[in-house]
Amino acid sequence: MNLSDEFMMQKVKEGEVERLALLFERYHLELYNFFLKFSRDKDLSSDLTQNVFYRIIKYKNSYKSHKKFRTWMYMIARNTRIDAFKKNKISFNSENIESLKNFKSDEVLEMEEQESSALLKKALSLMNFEKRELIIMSFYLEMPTSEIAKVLEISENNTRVRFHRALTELKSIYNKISKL
Amino acid sequence: MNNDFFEQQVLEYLKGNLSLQEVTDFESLIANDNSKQQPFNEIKTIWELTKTEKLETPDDSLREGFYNMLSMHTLEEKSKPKTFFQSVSIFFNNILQHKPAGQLAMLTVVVLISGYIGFQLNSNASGQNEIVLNQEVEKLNQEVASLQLKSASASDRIQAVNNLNSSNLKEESIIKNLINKLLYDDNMHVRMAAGKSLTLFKNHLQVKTAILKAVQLEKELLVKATLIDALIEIDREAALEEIYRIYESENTSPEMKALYKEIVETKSI
Repeated sequence: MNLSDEFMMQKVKEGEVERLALLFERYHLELYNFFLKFSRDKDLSSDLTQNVFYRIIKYKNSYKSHKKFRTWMYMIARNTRIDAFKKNKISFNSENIESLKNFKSDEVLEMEEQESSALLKKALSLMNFEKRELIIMSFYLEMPTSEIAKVLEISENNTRVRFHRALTELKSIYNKISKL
Repeated sequence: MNNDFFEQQVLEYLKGNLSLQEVTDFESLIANDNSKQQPFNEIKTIWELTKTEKLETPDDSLREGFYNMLSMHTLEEKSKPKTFFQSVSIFFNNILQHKPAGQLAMLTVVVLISGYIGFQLNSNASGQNEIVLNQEVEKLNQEVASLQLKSASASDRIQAVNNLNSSNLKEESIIKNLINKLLYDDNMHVRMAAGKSLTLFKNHLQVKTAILKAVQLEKELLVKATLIDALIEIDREAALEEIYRIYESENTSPEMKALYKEIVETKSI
């Protein structure tokens, strides 16, 4: 029996919308955590996750069966996040490194065992959305460059250049806050 | 190798996407080139840190919301007849998955379809009915969505904004319109969609009364079954009473009785 994402989505497109349940079970956790990386708001992340599946049904006719479902889904997820943040006026928190002088005493010392992990989370949260999504897709979602390029609708070369800038910024922020 | 490519190479290595030969070459590069060791270790550290993070689990409202949405769409999809062109598109899609035998079959079918298209073009009345029906279903969706805009759940609100293009109707107006369609619309699919949509407002007394009335008036078996289902969801006891009342009536046809019997059995009521 063919249970691939693409086969299921093709069936959804043909009107068997109940098959979306399987895709929901496969991806809702990953999507929820994807949104959590942009906003620590659990309710918002939950709403955005559901909204992605709503849009999948709404735009099912635009799905092309030869395309990877996960790539298409993340294109929708990205647009969902951008629309919602624009609508709710959620913007990048431009809190600068200097304003984080109390960060170490307030947060990191309480989590000594997970200090590096907490620092990375913090560094990620200080990046702007565009650079942050590249790091999330590469490291957390383990997407290959070709897939990220499709989600962002840019060339692979452009993706590599942008990723390099994002990684440089992440390392720089991480180093700065670890010295605080 | 410039930085951009090297970073991608490191990630592919860490993800395990390189071939055996590529892994050997890459490890040899790291071992022999001091300038690559630091950037490699930095990326590796970030990679390992991301792997220690545990995924957070959403609360049950996400699953609940999704399945509610899915059941509404499933019903809507089933009440929507497929257009001729949709059927053809699905047919071709299925055939193309079985090349090359499918291609031969396709050629034969094209000839038959050409004749059928002529027939379809001569009877565009059903197509127009379908357009009207789709418009009605879409309008119903908008009406439901307009209420969701006022819902306490942000999820409903976001969903409603996506669905709603122009509707400023108040809750009472939506219910009134839905009841009106449920009781008086000529098209059974619209009546069925209205009945299902009304279950969203099950706390309103007038909704239960309207569905009860619609069960009594409805002539189409499929719609009647859907309405009984909706009634069970709203008020199980009232649904049971109604089923027995109709079942006992002399006017109830044998096929209607069979339908009620089936509902009583499948719903275990």
